[in-house]
Amino acid sequence: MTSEVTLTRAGLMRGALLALPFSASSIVYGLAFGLLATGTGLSKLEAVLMSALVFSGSAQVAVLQTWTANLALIAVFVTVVVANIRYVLMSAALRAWLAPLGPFKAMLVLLPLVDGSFAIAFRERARGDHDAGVLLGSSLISWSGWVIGTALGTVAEQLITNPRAVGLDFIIVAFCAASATQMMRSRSDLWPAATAVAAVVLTERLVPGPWTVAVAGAAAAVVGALRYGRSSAERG
Amino acid sequence: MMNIDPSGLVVIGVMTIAAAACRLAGYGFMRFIPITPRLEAALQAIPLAVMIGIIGPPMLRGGWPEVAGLLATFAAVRLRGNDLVAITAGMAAVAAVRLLV
Repeated sequence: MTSEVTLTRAGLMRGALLALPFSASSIVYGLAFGLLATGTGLSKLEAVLMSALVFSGSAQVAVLQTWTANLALIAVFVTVVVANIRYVLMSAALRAWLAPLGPFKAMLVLLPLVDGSFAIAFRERARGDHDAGVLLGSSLISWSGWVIGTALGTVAEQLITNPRAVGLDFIIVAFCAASATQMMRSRSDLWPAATAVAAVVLTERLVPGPWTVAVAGAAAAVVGALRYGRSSAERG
Repeated sequence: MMNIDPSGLVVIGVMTIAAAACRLAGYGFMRFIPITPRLEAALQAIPLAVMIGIIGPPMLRGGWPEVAGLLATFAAVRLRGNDLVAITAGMAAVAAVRLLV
């Protein structure tokens, strides 16, 4: 079964078409990021470069929130790792499927990995499509949307004279709040979430700055591990 | 306008390495570290906490407009289940309360 994997142009096209709805939301989120980035003081080129190379909305926003002249690089690294730790799980899950391609092609397929493309690729694979191009194609179309959206956002920032008056500074908070509401699926999510809230309040009081996201993520992970098994009865 | 600050470039470089490392790490580590259910539970708790970590600081620094915006966003997600509607509602609530306060 694992030897069935292929990487074809037809697969790329299928993946790109399937991920078109995701790329639309990438454009909107990218636009919000572009606005935030130029508002924070990044140049247009820096904002677009960051989106193209990092391709991680939550990590980029988390770093931007603490953007200063002398940002501690270790805090930046830890924040990006914490915000992207789910990709460790996803790429682990993909190993059995992609390994026959060889390490070079597997890395190429994994580098633009994103939540939507992972979901699409696993769905299509369950339906019998073993072409890794589906994964790569859907990743790349989402990536294009993210980069194009960022570029549009950096241009739009100049057109708006008073972004605070129309609530534009709130757009990322609203985006994350909407995502968080949809991530709360079961009661087992409550304890790690409450821990994260407490961690954020404490960190902001004691050491306001670049560690907030990393501390919240680490604290929630510890509670998630400790509560594992105990909360299984609550899972729907 | 198109200037690139070298220290900004260094930060972007560090971010690029960290993000790429995460996307490749699972593939590389699978040989050495078994992903146990408990480890999976720990990793699954993280995305929501990251969202809370992003929302938290602006909310703590903000006032009534931000509180109104957050409530409007939650309400719109619950009622309509649509991201775009929720974000628009949140921004509109913030703008409206800022006009009043």
